[in-house]
Amino acid sequence: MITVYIVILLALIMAIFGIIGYQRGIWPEVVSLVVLLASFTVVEKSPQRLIDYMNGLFIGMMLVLKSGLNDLNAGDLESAAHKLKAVEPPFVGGQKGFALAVVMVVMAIIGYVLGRWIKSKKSVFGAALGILNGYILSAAFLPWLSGLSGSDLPVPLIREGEGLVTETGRQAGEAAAKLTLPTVLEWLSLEGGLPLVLLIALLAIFAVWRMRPKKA
Amino acid sequence: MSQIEYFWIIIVLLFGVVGIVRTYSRELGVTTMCVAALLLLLQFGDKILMVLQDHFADDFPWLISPRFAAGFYVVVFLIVVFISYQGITLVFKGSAPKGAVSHLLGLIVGLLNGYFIAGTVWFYLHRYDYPLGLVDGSDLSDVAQRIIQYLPPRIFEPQLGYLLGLLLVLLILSVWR
Repeated sequence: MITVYIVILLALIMAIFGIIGYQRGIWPEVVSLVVLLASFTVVEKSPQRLIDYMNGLFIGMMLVLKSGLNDLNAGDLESAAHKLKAVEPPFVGGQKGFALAVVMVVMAIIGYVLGRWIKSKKSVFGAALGILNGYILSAAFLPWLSGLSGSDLPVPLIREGEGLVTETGRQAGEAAAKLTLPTVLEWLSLEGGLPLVLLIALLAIFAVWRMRPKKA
Repeated sequence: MSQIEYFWIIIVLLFGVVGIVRTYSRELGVTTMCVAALLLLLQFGDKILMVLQDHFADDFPWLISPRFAAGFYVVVFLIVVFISYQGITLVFKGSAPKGAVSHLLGLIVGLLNGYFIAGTVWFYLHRYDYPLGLVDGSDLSDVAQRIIQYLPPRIFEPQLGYLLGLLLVLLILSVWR
């Protein structure tokens, strides 16, 4: 069962990325989308290879920190091998997902930094692309973070799935459906939507009335 | 179970956030264009489709498919929305003063735009039984089916005169200040 909190978290991440996307505009978001999609494909299709690389990178770094390079320079291969064996690969078992999440976050940062080179004006479609970026990033790391199945957050052509189904949401929806129709909605849709039209017109009149004339 | 209603609500909320950021003087321009596009689609959409199908369906049989019909309405509407946000923008004269009331108005008008945009797209996808295949129309929740009763084309279709009146009011207001 997926809690409604996961849905809220997903919506929150997508909303934040949507706002960032709006501020950045279309083209920087396209760059981020391409980078994210490419890295998501690699993460999805060859996760074990990526985890091996990450473990190798970590072990190599630890070897350098433990002055293993000095041993190699000095020709002391046995000592270097001993130090190498002493380093435990960090991304094993339940931590494998962490490696993939790190890769996705790093690639997301790279994508967003690359996007900074491109000048673009604020755009609602940048917001839409930002939402998409937020979803892809969430699809990569939320399953690991929350214990979701990957198929709960499908990405067409890359990851198949059935979509997010929330037991809590379903129950809430059914409960809401049993309620009588909200009177206000019924009223707004009366007479071909006349009350709704009047409400929108009044709102627009009030909004324009509050505006200041533009300075010449 | 498809969760299209959650998706729809999230999209509408996001348009609300966009409304706050863009300020309501710009958002009212989008509202005007949405009303105009909806009016045109409701008044002429079926007629245009019929003309296309009558004249070209022999050569292009896919013109009579529900996928084309849904695509026609959705694409035409989204093109108008795209232009009103990105291209030739109808910005109301005057500038919105700073303050909480302006942010609130931006939110409300943004939500209204989200309702028009996401609502119209959903309505036409539903009308043609979700031909893009992303949603199973027979598996909608009761909540989704109730929301569909209040989508813009469903509400305004019986009396297009009201929508025309609203469009005139908005156009007059756009040059008021």
